[in-house]
Amino acid sequence: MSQRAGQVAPAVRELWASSRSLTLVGALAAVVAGAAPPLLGLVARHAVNGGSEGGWAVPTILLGAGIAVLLAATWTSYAAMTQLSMVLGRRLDTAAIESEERRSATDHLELDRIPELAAAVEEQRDALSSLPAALGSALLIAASAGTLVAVSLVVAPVLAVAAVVGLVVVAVAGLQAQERLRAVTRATAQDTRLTRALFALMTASGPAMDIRTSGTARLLLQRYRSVWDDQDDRLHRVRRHGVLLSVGAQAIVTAVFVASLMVALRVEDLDAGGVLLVVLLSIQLATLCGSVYPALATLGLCLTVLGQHRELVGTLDPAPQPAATGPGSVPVHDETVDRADEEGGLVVRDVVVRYRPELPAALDGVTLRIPPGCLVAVVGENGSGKSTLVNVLMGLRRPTSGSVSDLSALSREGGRPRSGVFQDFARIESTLGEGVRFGSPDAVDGAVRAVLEENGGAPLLETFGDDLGARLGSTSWSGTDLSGGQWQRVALSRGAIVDRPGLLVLDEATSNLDPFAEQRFVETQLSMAQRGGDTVVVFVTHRLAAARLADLVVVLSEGRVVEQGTHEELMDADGVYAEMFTVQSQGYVMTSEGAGPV
Amino acid sequence: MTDTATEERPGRAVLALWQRCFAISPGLVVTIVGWGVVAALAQVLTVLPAADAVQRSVRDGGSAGSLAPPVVLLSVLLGTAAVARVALDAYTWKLGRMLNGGLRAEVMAAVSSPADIGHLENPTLRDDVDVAVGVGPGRHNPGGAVVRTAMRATTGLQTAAAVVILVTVSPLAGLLAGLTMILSRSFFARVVRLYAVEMAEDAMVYRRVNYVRQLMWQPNVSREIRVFDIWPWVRREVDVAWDHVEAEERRQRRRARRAFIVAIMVFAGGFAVTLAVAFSRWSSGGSLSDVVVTVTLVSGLAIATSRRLVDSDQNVELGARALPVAEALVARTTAPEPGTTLLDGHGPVALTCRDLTFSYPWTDRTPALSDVSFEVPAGQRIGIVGLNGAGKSTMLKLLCGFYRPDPGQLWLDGVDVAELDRSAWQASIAVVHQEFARYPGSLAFNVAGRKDASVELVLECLDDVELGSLVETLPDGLDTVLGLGGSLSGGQWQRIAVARALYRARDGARLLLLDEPTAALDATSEVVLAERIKERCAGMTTVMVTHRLSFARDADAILVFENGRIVERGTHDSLVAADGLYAAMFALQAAGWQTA
Repeated sequence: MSQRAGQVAPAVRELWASSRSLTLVGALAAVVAGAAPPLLGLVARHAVNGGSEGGWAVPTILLGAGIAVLLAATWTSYAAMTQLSMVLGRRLDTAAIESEERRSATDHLELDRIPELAAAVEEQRDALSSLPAALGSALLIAASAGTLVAVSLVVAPVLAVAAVVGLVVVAVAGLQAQERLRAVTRATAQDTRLTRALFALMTASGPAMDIRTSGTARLLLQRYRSVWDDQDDRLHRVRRHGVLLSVGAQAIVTAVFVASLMVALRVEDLDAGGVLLVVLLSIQLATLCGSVYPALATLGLCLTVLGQHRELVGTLDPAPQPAATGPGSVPVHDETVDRADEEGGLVVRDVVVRYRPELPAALDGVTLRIPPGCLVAVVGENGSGKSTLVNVLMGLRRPTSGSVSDLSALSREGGRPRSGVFQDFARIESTLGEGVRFGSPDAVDGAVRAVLEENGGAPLLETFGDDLGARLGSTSWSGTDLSGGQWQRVALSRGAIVDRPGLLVLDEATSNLDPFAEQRFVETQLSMAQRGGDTVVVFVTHRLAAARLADLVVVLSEGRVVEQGTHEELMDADGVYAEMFTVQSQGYVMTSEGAGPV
Repeated sequence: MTDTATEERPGRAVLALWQRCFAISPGLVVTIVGWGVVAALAQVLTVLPAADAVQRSVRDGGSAGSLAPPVVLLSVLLGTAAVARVALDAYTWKLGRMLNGGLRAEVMAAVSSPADIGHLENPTLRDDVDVAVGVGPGRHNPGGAVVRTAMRATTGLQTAAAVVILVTVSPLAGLLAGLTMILSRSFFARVVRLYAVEMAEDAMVYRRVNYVRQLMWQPNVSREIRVFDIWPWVRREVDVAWDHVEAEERRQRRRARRAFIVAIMVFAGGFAVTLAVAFSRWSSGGSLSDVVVTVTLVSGLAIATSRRLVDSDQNVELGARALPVAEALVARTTAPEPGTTLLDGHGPVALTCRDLTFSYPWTDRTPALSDVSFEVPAGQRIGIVGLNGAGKSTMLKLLCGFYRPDPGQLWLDGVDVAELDRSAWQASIAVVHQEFARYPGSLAFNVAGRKDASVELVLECLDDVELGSLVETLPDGLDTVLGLGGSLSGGQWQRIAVARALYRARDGARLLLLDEPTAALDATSEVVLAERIKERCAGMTTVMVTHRLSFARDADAILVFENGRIVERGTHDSLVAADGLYAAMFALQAAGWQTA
């Protein structure tokens, strides 16, 4: 609990930094709303004491006004906190984006911790947005309790003792119950994930086909029910236990109340109004006791999620990874390497990449010198380290050891933008024009249309009536859904529109394309690369036919470069590459008369 | 029921909610009602010992013997009310979760039971499924609405009881208080509704905020964001989306404020008059205890109303709205299968397709298939090739019975698919889908899709796809649970999908359908696995869609699709000799392999 109390200060600081005026208004109104009920009791005492003599008009008006103030303050605080939650939401989003932007590499996304945190924060997003309201409620309760104790001290000090004891006993019992509930929730987190995954699986359109032909719907549903019900039982058992705890706590509180009321009401000079006040205060106190633990529980959850968010954006880690540097970017002092570096080429030296200490290295001592303008084909089987190598070359993966030439020049500011087309290309719900212009923000409409048409996007343009402002996708806004093929056209166009990139990566870019589209894309890209003259093109493929076009073929196996050279050299060497080539070409062997089976 | 109808009459949605709850568990509902009554009455009845105590202390000067009974009663009532509230909370949570679980299971069952998948591609179904789980950014759900309405009903009962007590004390004061509550209630309800409806309408705007924010955590998107430096766009989009949210909130708050000012005036004014009536009766000879009762009840009502104002009723308004949406969804999707004919016999099936024309439901585009005719005698293998978007996968989906073709266009063993019980048919085919399912279940379940699978058969299938060694490395062997978290690579999953089809093939499947079955594998493994499938499924009627023309080379027939039509057909040799589209595609692919 003390640990969570320590999280209050940063949370308040976040609100303060989001909007001082809203924080002040919300807090003041919460204090007023909290203090109002005990003060209403004071007014009531006054009214009753003066009432029998007919002097009740003023107190009555005061009571009415007090009720109005109570309601107005409650509402004002609520509205301010609602507004504040939006300002806070924007602030947290911006902080998250900025912290990600500072991380030029994506290593951190491969750790388990970061995606887990991101998912947890995302799932409990409503806890973040109710943080201001939760803090407001806590403040309101504190103000209420404080005023109650203060007023009690004036009328009947013994009631103040009862107030403190009552609040503490109920809060402790409540927190105890909450802690048990949290433990079960944590213990059944796997169940929650499983039922979520099952629901998503069974209501999505993609897996629907497999579910039908493999006839699994009934079993999946049974599994869902049994997991859900089992979790239900466990949660309910804990809640029932909470009821018992509350019975115990209330027994103590009732005894304390009886004792303190007996003492309080026997004070000699207590007038009728005073008695009424004491009674009102004790009823208010009982209500307040009931609201303490739900409020603390909500606040606790909000603070936990905020803590996760802070961890995610790295405010807890004072030194996020510095931009574009890392253990791998120490300049290499080697003459040939330096020369390749100066000429704008890429140099990789003794690079080792290990995703986890216990796993074999994904790249195990790779050294490559790629001169400017070189077309490199990287080939190898699944899991041979192709994608890792590409990520190292693009600066998205910092090597565990070894060095890579300075990649900071490869940026839009550096004048040598990077470009790439990937097998699992991004489907970003932007406008059609934006989707392409991500590659070249200043491209004019004509250029965007031309690139789309070159990359098979003509039907897409037609669908949207030539409107580059048309919205793609329909999950986040009212736009138009695209097929996988259509999304790919946008991704291809984005990769193609980049003007004279310093580095162009084609990572299995064409594996889903039909032969004509594949051929067209490869030709366009290569001619473009050649126009650029000094663009390094890295072509990842496991279809060796394409590798023949490369100036340099790099064959990877288990994270090591096992062969490198031109296609002809490697075929002559009759090694791994030659063998792979032969296996794959089996189905395409042509006889001397033309095409035909062997 | 439409959304607007529910908005106008939230009471009806809440009633429907509780009717459903009663059907699920009458016992639980009775328990909840019991605790709610205890909580409300215990709280309100405290006013009687309170007044009694004041009266006695004034009359008897506060002697212990005289004060003890009301003080003990007061404390016990307060304790009882507190316990009852905790119990109410516990049991409504239980009921709420039962309701949510049952409703979601019903949605899952309804969505996944029809043989047809057209409804899943209907964009409004996606939205409805979303709403069935929860409405708006807060995911307000029917279970939450149950918890909240129980609390709301308790407060309501408390108010009613308070008014009744006031009426017995002073009919005029009681009447005034009752009137005040009824009048202000509708205004306060309007305030809450304005905010609640605003949240619902904003769900779309929130969706945009959520979407853009989450982009950067997706590995493939985060890569392109960095490679192309899309950060400025991401920042701008998030800002724009938040601007929308805030503008909407401002607009609704302004509307709510007006209603709120009226409500507050009615409320405070009404109770001031009520108090005035009570006091004036007292000064003209009424009893002190009546005044105490009035003051206590009025301040209690004021505090309860202020708490309810902020105790977001959105849970009720929005959560209850999910129920009719989910029920309509279930009713809509559980249409009976139109076909009833079962396919007789065993062994490979024969396919006949005559002048088949098909366009997807929910689109008004050009037909995906036009005038497609072909025949596949039982046991033959055919390949379907063509450019992207030519209709190849659509053809497979029709063969799977995922859509109902018009009568007289597609036959299986002489039975018209339009008349066929397609669910039964789907249970008798082996398919490798392009988008195969990754079940969050054991490895064995992922292969066999059933609980009572034969272990030997599963192991054989895994050996066929070269995952035999995987079983040994997994912690629980065949029982290892897959699908949650990324324990397997894309290539390994693809092999499991192939093993799934091989299992079905061994289990007597009558047709084998392959849609790019090896796309996620490296090229060498692709060749090996394609050969393996061919070996294991020899003699089955097979339809295979592929971009790699070498795999279809030895098929009994190859169909070349273009723009939804069959433009060429024949064996590999005859197609190459015909020198058309196929020959061009093959030559293009083969050219890459020509050693100089």
